[in-house]
Amino acid sequence: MQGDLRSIRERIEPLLGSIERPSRYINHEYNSHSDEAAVYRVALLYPDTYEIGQPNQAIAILYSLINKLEGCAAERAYLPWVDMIAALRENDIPLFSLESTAPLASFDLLGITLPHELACTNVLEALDLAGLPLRAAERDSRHPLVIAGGPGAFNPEPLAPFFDAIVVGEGEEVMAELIAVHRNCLARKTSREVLLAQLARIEGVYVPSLYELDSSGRLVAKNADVPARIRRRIIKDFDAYPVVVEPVVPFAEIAHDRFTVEILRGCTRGCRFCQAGMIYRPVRERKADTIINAVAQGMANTGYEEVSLTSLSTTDHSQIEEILRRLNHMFSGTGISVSIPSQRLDGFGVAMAQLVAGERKAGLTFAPEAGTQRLRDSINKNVSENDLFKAVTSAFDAGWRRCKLYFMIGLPGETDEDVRGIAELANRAYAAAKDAVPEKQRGNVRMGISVAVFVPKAHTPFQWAGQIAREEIERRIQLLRNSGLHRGIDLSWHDPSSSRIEAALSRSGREAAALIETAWRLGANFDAWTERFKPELWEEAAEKCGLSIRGLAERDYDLAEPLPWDHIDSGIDKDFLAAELLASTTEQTSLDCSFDGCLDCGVCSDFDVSIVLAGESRG
Amino acid sequence: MAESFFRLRINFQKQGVLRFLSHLELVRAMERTIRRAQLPYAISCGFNAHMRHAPGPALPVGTVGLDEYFDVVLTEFIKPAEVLVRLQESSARGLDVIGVSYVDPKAKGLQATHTHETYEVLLETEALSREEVAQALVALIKSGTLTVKRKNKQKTYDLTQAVEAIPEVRETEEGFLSIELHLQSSAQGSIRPELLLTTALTTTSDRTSSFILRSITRTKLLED
Repeated sequence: MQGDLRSIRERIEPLLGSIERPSRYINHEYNSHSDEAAVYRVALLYPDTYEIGQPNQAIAILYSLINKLEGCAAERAYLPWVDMIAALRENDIPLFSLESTAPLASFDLLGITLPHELACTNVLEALDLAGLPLRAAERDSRHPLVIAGGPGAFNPEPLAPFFDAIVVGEGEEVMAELIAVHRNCLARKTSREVLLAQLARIEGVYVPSLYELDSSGRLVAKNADVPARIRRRIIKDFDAYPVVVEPVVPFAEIAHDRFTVEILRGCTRGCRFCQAGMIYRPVRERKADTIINAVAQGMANTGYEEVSLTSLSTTDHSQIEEILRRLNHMFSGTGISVSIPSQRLDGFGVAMAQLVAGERKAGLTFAPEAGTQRLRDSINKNVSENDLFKAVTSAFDAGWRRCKLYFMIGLPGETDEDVRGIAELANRAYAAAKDAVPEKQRGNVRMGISVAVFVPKAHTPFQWAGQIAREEIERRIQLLRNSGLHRGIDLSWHDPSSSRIEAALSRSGREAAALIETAWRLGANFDAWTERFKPELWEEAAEKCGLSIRGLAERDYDLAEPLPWDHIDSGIDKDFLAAELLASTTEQTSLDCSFDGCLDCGVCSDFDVSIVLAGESRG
Repeated sequence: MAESFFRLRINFQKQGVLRFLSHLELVRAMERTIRRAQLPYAISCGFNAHMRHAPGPALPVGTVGLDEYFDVVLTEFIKPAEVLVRLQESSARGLDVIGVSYVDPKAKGLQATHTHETYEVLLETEALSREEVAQALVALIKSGTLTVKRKNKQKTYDLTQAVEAIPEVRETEEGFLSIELHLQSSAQGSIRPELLLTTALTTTSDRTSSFILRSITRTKLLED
């Protein structure tokens, strides 16, 4: 084994001189570590390049956690960029881990995170590059156990045949349980079949091969030993779980290159299009002291020049003002900056942004999502036009000169008036921005709007709705373009053709696995990279599989019919989602249960968890 | 009270696979090492506050450096021996700090003063003898200039200026040829050892594919 490792290392080095950004493949980053002598070895793979994958928090958490388990070692792996993939294939070198340059096939466990739909061909690219059979059915105990986790686990079916097991929910506790079962089975040399049966009994672990479609189209357990539904794993006491304060510090320039503390998990604002707002409930905050101590330790251990306080809605933390003030004090005179990922759409959000911005006021981003109050009520985005104008006015008054607004088109129930409303709202926000700025500086005001086509997601109130038809997307884009948007406002689009593939995959069943495999065999990979994405490959693949992208993306599900993800128990009751869908049609809003009373979505009662606020109250 | 500043000069090595770091990646890695070492670094007072530092002359990606420098301004004096230990404890493997000293804060920057570079190139060749390689290099240097085209730019090096001594070529125990080059950088930058060697060996020999550059190392960086 050791001899093999050395030879791989020696064969990779000569390639590094002639490929782009070799620092992605060399390991040796500060805080990277691995015990090559560990009995049980795990490779954690992010199915995209190092720059995209290295900042991923789930992998950082599991890397830290597994490396602390007795006798276990975790190593990182990423999908190399296309030039390196070609070089590896040409030289017959398998995909390797960074730390020990070991072939992925030599690990006991290969864990792949599923960040979004467009990463699915990269999963196959990685498995193939690792020299592993793609489908779980073709693998046995000679191969690593191949598992997945992440947001993609909430509709696992399109990738289900490729994995031995899929972990649903938060990995902090279940990972060690899964490893313990696997180690036990390895020690007893049990068959893969016995191992899988044991894994399926761990709460939160889905073993796709033990489930099949019944005559009514419902996915059911093949035998009584495995649970009918897979319950999402949730950490009850989030504050008690340590922040990763010794993350790997990359050499290569990556996305989000900074120290990160997740200050709260979950969001209960209840936007009806938002999957994250449903599948990470309930809200659990870390205490201010925990956060400050973690930042102090993390910055000392990494030497980073920036710390980011992340979450789904950072300025909703009940102690956010105290936290930001204390961090500002701590970093005064050091040149170290604090950042928060998004701004709440009100004066408080801007005040918090101002607290961390100092002299550096690059640009602010707000997400009204829809152009009219009617549609915002319908999607339960509880912000008014007044909130937006107040936020914009206070931001430009405070010295910001650039602002970006995020919108979606194609939301369920959207009318032409709503589409035109995007331009009208942006125009008024632009005027408000100019009004807030001294006359001489008005030429510096920059406003942009970024528009994406709505992609319906599993486990949301809009999970039953298909994406609007392709021709309708085109028509609404033209409608927005002709709606009198001020010439000073930049309009940008999230590529509608990629949103269409996302929609085709986000709500499909197991039949989409053949589609993904065929698309990959036709050459699709790095689909999330605009310059690499080729929608025609997907159309061709669909045709070969007897499917259609249109059919998959635009399909409406009936409220009564089984959904491909019904066996995944996110904790949110289907009845609650249906009630929210109904409320959307009459533009009834629902309040945030973190401070306005329980809406009985089902998570807290069924999973024995509760909303945990660090301070007095939120809002 | 006027703040006092101390200019610390860090002498370090960049080796192993870390030779693949780009200059920008190296600068960022050094900044982070200095912060981890918790040295009292000075901050620029500009719009974007940043650490006051200045790297030495850039190394090409893939070249090992055994005598590299990086200056950083401190606001407090700390004994060099202590600074050295703190930096060594905070460094990534392969970016190894080997010495520190304080220099005059008003002195010219490293890139202006450290213009004499010594390189060692390891050449693997069965087709070319030690003498042939030495002669090829001498012939190229005597020709006076070297012009390279990169995309739309054309650059001409004055070899009588850029090459400071006749390169020494010797055989190593492993059977490679080791070539020691003494180069001088100018305002136009310095000529790359790789360029010098490949040009010399391809213009004087038709056996173009008959050599491999095993490694390139900048062994010394000297002041004027």
